[in-house]
Amino acid sequence: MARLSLFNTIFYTAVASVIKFALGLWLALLLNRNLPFKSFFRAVVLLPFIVPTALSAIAFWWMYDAQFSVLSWALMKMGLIDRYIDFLGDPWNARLSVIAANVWRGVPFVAICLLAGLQTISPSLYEAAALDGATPWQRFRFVTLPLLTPIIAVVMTFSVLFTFTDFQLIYVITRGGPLNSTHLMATLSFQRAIPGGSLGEGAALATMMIPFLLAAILFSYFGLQRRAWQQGAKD
Amino acid sequence: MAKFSRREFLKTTAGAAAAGSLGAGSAMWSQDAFAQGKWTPEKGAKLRVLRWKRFVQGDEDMWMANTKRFTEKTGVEVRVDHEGWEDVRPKAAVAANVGSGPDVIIGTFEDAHQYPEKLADVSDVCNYLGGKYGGWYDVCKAYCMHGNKWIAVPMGCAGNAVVHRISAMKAAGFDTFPKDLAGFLKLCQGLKAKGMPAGFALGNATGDGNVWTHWLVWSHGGMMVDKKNNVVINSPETIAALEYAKQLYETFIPGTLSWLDPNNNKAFLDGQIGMTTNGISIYYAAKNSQDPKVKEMAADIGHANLPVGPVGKTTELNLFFPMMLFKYSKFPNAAKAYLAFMMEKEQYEPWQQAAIGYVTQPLKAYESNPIWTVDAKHTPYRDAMKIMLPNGYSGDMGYASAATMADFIMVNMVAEAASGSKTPKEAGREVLQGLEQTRARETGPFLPCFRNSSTTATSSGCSSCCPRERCCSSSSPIRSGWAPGSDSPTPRSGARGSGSGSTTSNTW
Repeated sequence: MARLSLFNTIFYTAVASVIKFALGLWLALLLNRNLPFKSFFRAVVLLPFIVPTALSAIAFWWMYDAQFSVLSWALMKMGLIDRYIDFLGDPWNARLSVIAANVWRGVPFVAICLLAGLQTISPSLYEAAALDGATPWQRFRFVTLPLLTPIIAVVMTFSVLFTFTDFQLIYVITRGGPLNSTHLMATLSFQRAIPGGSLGEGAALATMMIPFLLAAILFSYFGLQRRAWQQGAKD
Repeated sequence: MAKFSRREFLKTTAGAAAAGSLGAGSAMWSQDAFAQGKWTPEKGAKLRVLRWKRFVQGDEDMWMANTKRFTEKTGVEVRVDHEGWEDVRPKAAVAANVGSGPDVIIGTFEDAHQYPEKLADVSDVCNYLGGKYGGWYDVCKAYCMHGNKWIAVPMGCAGNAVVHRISAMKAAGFDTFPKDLAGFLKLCQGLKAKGMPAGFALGNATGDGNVWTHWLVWSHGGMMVDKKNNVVINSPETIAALEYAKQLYETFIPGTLSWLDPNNNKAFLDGQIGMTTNGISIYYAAKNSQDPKVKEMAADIGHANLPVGPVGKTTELNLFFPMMLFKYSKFPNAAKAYLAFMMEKEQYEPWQQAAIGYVTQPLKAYESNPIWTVDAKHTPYRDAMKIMLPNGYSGDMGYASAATMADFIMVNMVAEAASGSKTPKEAGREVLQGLEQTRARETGPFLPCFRNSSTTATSSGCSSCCPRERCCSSSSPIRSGWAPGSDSPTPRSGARGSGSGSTTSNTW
């Protein structure tokens, strides 16, 4: 079961982090434009992050309910499905459902942090690129992205750490079920240590997370921050 | 009183005689109980009690009213904290290990066996109550007695029974609820055909999931461990139970693999299912609902005990509540007085009534509580303690049985076989392997027992030195371990130094 929870945790973290990064960056780029009611939208985007996780998890639990799911209900009414979707009753559906809930909650954090990073990039760089005839993609690829990597490194490190150690969402929505397919290392550690009474085993499971977390930190540190100019040296 | 020894009887009848007849008022209680010199609260005593949060409002209201009466009679201030029932266990474990916290904790299942050395001996209270009220049901002894002494006072259990729609049952061709497994399956099939399928939790539902899956396997004769704590789950009986579960699952409403504890209540009250297992809380909710449609449903709700399987005896599991008094309490007498007071007829029966029988009594005399007969729908819950087995059945209670429940091993085994993700044989075999590993961890070198069986093991167990006293004091065969003070591993040959156990058996 520990092996299954390790697989679940890695899958959960990898998929959720990639989606959160992609959506977060996209949202940040959108919010960085000159939109009407800019401040309002920026504030609203943060809502999922502000709501206590336990509460948003309960909302998702209802949305995924086998009998009372509003999603299934809406799709039924639209005639797209003929029976309720078993969001949490099938192992793979359950894994993807909890990932979706985690993404919903985690995107604002990534988006707002990246937005802050975007705003530090001087507009003159974009003007210079435009004068040189750069396409929007080239401006993004050769101006935005390189200047954003330090903040991406920090944000994604935090995001991976939070996701890898997630507990509340799983505990409220599935308790690790069905058939233990959504048990993460944190939830299994708790289950073994507290309701199961094996504190040592729970602690061992929790400790097992450290090498993975350390690896995530080192990866982002060495992988994304190695340019000399980012460390204060001359290019 | 069938299992009451002569000595216990003599010890307790003095108290019982002094306490007078069952109909004596509570004023009588206070005089008598104190007159015996028992449990005179310490001067300036204040108590903290932690208990699980009510499932039905009447329970909490009356419990607090009784507590208030205790304070009025004795002057002992009692603070009662309520927590979700699953949160009580971790808090109790912390309190036990830290040596500080509430004086009394009302926990669940085998909590008391996880730290027996931290709990005060409450034999005097239990013997007094048992003598006065017709004795305790056998299952109470399994949960609350350690060796010859009581380490917790049984509070009762949240009775579990089949909750069904009478009209749907009749439509399915049954006038009365079936009493055997074949009839039960046929009823479920009939309910599905009539569009009111059954639904039993198969997700990681601590209460509802564990309760019915244990019944299912036990009713066929399967069990996790035998009397000697050998893992015997991979048996033909278990396989038969899993085959039966598969047939049953086909009749369920979709989605039960994801069901947690609240799901069946919601689905039932919404009229989506015609049968489930639950406490009396569904009926209570329907009866007290503000919604006229739901209120109407109450008349159509029927209750029944789960059918008896090939083993020929009842094999139910219910959520048991032990009341534990910790040794660190500064006011043990006040706490004992409180526990005894709350269990006396004058307090206990009105409390049961207020909760319309949500909690079933551990004392046989309370079977006559009018709450069980005032409404025929209450009656199946009356016998919950009588017809249940302890969750560690048929082995000992303690860390291993708690770990097995907490890991939902039974639930997931049934869920895997029922849903077809594994064949019954694979499911049984996998659980066996998993349990072997778990048991190996429980008794292997990771958790050494600091007692050398050849020199110090006694029949009294070793609760003073080893929180996992099971491995010494039970009669189970033990895996090899390490003896303190020796440089080389010393295989422990058997429990209590008898040397009779096999060192290769799967113990738990």
